[in-house]
Amino acid sequence: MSRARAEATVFHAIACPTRRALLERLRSKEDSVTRLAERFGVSQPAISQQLRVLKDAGLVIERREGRHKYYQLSGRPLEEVASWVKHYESFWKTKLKSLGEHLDKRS
Amino acid sequence: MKSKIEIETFYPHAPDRVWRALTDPAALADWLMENDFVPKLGHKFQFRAKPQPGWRGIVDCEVVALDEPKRLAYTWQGEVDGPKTMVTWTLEAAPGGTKVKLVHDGFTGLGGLFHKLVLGSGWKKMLRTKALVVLSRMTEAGEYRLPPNER
Repeated sequence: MSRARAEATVFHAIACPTRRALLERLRSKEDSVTRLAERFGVSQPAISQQLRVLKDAGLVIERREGRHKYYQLSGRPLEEVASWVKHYESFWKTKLKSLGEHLDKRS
Repeated sequence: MKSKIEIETFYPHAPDRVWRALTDPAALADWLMENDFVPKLGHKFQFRAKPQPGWRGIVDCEVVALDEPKRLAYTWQGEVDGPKTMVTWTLEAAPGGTKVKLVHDGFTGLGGLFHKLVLGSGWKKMLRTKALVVLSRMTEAGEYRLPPNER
């Protein structure tokens, strides 16, 4: 998935107040579909549908246990930025070395 | 999580000389990338490199701080839809040469968005600004139309 497409999915996922509330709720701990449906006062199919959108955007992780499904917040988007920063860090280290060589050769 | 790059280094050359290497287009082309840099506040320019898979090879920049020969800063946007990050160079005369500090910060993107979302109401601003560009490409059915350069 390209970064732009991934971002579109994420934006779509958080464009809905219910889904934002779900993320907020899952921030502290894992929760089951049953309990989430109760808490939000909606049907299980309705909450499952919202969770699926969040899952597709990579914002939550699903875990099955018997007949129950559990959801928790995913750290993947954070990891993505961390790897991006890492990439730039090695880029600049190489470039700073080139800058040193550039300065030396014109002495 | 680390969201900022900070590297300090030393060059056995006078600050004026290091400053030239940071602000002369030919010098920049030699050690960094091809460019149309001009040492002028507000000047918009590009760094260009060979395109790679996943990167078009262009960085859009704008000079936002210029204090010869001490401080130079420009915005750094490597992707059309990506966030504007910031590159800041600070030069300091030291015995026998120059101390150079490079700071590259402002990394957001997915993680930053996520962070803002989790931290509170930052998503509102994101939706108003950057997200509008993305959302304008979404069809009624919620399908995303790729910008021409990604098709």
